[in-house]
This record gives sequence, C-alpha cells and structure tokens, in this order.
Amino acid sequence: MTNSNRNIPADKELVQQVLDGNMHAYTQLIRHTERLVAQIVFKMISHPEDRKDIAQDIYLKIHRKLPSFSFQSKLTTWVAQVSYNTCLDYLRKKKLFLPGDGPEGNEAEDDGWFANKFLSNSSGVAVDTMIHKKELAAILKTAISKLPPVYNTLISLYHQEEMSYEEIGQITGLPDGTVKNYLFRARKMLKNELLVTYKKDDL
Amino acid sequence: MNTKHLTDDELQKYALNIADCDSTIVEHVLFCEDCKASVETYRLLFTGISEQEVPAFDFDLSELVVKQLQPSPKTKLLPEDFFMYLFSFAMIIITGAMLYFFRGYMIELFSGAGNFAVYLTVASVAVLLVFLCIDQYKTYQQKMKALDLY
Repeated sequence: MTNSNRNIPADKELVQQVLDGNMHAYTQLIRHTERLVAQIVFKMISHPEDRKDIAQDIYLKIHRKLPSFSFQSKLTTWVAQVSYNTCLDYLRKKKLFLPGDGPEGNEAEDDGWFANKFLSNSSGVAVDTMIHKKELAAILKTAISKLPPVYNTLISLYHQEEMSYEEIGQITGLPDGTVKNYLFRARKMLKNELLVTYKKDDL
Repeated sequence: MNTKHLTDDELQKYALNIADCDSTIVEHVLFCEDCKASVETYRLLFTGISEQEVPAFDFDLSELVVKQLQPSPKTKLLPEDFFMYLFSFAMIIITGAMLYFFRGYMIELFSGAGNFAVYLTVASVAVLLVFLCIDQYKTYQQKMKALDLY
C-alpha cells in the first residue's frame, strides 16, 4: 500500500470536519500542509508581502473549493496544486518569466560534453574536494534563486520534498516528460553555475 | 569499453540511480576520471539541494486565514448610528403624519392633474428605477469579482 493511500482516511475525516464548520480542523489542515505551500510560494514568488497575501488567498480558496474535492489525489497534492496554480496566475498577471516564455539554453549543447569539458576542472577532481559545505550551501542558494520560478519549484519538490515525477506532474499539470525535462535543465543550470562560481573563486 | 563521454542526461541518471543505467555507462564511469568527477559534482549538487533550508512563513498563517473565515461578530451600536436611526424614524413619522393630515389636499392635487401628467410622472419614475437597478447590478458584479479569489 502506498503512503498516499494510507493518508486518505485521515484526510477524509479532516476534510469532513472542516466541511462541518470545524475551524479547529481547518487550522490543523493548514498546519499539516503549510510546509509544502511555503515551498511553492517561496520558490515562485520573490516579494515577501505578496507571499503573505498569496498564502492567505491559497487557503481561502482551498476552503471555498473543499466541498468539490473528490479525493482523486492526496489532500496535500491537491493543496499543492491549488498553491501552484495560484502562484502561476500571479506570475502571469505580473508577466514574469516562465519556462517556454524565453530563451532556455541551446538544446544542441544538451549532449553535455561541450559544457562539461569547458567547465569541469581538467584534473578530473570533483568540486566537493575544493569547496566547503557552508560555501556550497551559499553558492547553491544563490544559484537556485536565479532559476526561473517553475524550475526552482520543481527542484524543491523533487529534491527536498522527495516527490515523484508523477506527483509533481499532478501538482503542476505538466506531463511527466516535461517535468523530467525541466528538472534536467534546472540541474544542468545549477551544475554549470556551481562550476562557474568555483572557477571564479579559483582565479 | 565505451570511450564516448557521458551526456549530461546520462550523468544525472547515473548520479540519481545507478540501477537505471546501462552496463556500458556504468563501465565507462568506472574508468573515466572526467565523467566520474562530473557524477560526483551532480551528487554533491543533489545533496546540497536536499540540505537547503526549508522555507517557512514568518507569520501565523492559520490564524490569519481562520480570522478571515469567521463570521464577523455583531458590532455594537455606536452613538452616531443610534442618532441616525432615530433621525430616520422621526422623518418617517413626520412624512406619514403629513400625508395623513394633508390627505385631502393631496387627493385634490392629483385629481386636478390630467391623465397625461400622471402617466409622465409614472414613466419617469420607472425609467429612473431601471437605471438605478442596472447601476446596482453592475456595482454588485464588480464587488463579487473583487471577492472572487481565483
């Protein structure tokens, strides 16, 4: 039995309590899903004040739409889906950059060897031997923040929340292949950024 | 042994899960220092990402949301509201009394007027009411649109 199926009875009970007007149950629901919502909102929205408004909008919307939730997916997945779509609407309204809207790198270089050869150190020594953990965290934080919002979100959902391609696809409404492709590009961008930063520091 | 270096896609797959890779890829990485270093860089990257600080809201989200969902409590009657109600009540009483005491004059006034004048008055009031209703409906729609969060 999958983890998602194990969660459904508890989810159903919680949702029913919320539908019966139990505000304490809704507080529980918010606390239960807040981490995932924060992941999505922080990765997609850069302005702190907007984050606050959007987070509230998300949960007001969830409360309004809860009667139509039919448990086709996990409650957390559905909440994440509403969060992602709300953030996406915000980005579209603000006309901010989304994948597919602009240049995303030369696909011809995606065979990787050109970039690898250009960027990797010639001695074949991995970067971890050169930089400290703290430095790496800082470099990565900057590099991740430079990613387009959707890439940033996918990276967090896959690597931090340990979600499957299928779950991410459910949240974002993207086909599995597109999720894999975006993740591949995002990782490659991060690796290149890491190597460039390392090279810069090395000079 | 495959002498062609691995693509980024293959490197990522290898770093994520060796079991997903062909034996030729596994064999190549074993003997190629460059590819081995690239794989290590990817592994370092993945560990680095998973160890990144998880973001959290610096405010009590549930409190803010629940506050907005609670039905607004009945507000206490303020003194200015009390006077407003009193004034409205007094106006209704005075208008009613005037209509009652001067009803004879009123009947005379309307019976004296021609049919055309009465129709004109009724038509004007009806047109004004239609415009008022349209305006009210537009305002209502604007407010609902503003409330619609999606």
